Amino acid sequence: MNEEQKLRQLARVARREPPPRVDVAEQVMARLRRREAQTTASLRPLAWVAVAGATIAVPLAIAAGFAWQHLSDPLLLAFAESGGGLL
Amino acid sequence: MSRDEDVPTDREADDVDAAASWGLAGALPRSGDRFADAGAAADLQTIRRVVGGDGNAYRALIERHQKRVSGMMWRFSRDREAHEELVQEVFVQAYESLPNYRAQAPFEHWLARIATRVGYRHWKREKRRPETVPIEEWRDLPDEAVQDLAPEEAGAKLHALLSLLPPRDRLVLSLRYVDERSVEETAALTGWSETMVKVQAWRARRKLKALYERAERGTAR
Repeated sequence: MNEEQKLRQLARVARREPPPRVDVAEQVMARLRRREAQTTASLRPLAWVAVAGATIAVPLAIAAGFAWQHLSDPLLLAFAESGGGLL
Repeated sequence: MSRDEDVPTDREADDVDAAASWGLAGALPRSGDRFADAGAAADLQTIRRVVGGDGNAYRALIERHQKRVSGMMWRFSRDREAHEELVQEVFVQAYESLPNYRAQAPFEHWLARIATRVGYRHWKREKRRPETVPIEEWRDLPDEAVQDLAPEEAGAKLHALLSLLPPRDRLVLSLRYVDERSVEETAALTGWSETMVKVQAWRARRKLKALYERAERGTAR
């Protein structure tokens, strides 16, 4: 009998072996819950950065809007001050 | 002679990183299976619930498939603790990949691909054992004594014997000879092409033969 036939024969006998009984449902669910909690925890600092960024950005945007409304062309301003004397 | 023995040359097969190339979303075709059976329909319904946000429904899938997965993973590790860890890992990875499941094949086939990948990675991490003891044990085992072995003993010897080979060779021989998978099924499980499976099986058998012959020469001296 060569090594391949011996391998096949050994495999034939080994296939009759019942695998160990396992019940992993509880452990898997616990691992999944832990992972989910870790993901949420790792996102929390990012959420705080986003909130802080928004807190600063909103008043800045409002102030910028006001400033934009009151901006005028500096050339026109100079022209008005000189009473049209440049022409 | 089996049909995969006539691989023409001993050229090096492309060194595909099997684990990286195994897509999880594809189907695993297997003749004679009916996708529309009750079990598969129940799986599909449960998967929809899980993907829809009911994570607890996943427990039902685990309970339905853990026996089969345990059987598969027993080929990858005979250490009970490591074996249980592997079974858990299969279900954790399956859960994470579940949104990619396309239902083109029964869930159990898709799960088998994940199990194969997890087992293969386990072998890649594991250190190979010293090669002298099992090959000599195997060689010295009388042909007729193989039949008389207890299945557990045969399983342990087979495991020790295949552990002498690199993971890729070990994987292809396990699937082809131990699990009696066809070339097509082996290709689907590993993500290799059918030609690749044939070449890999041929090379693995050749390595095993070389080990066997080396052990014989060792005793002849």
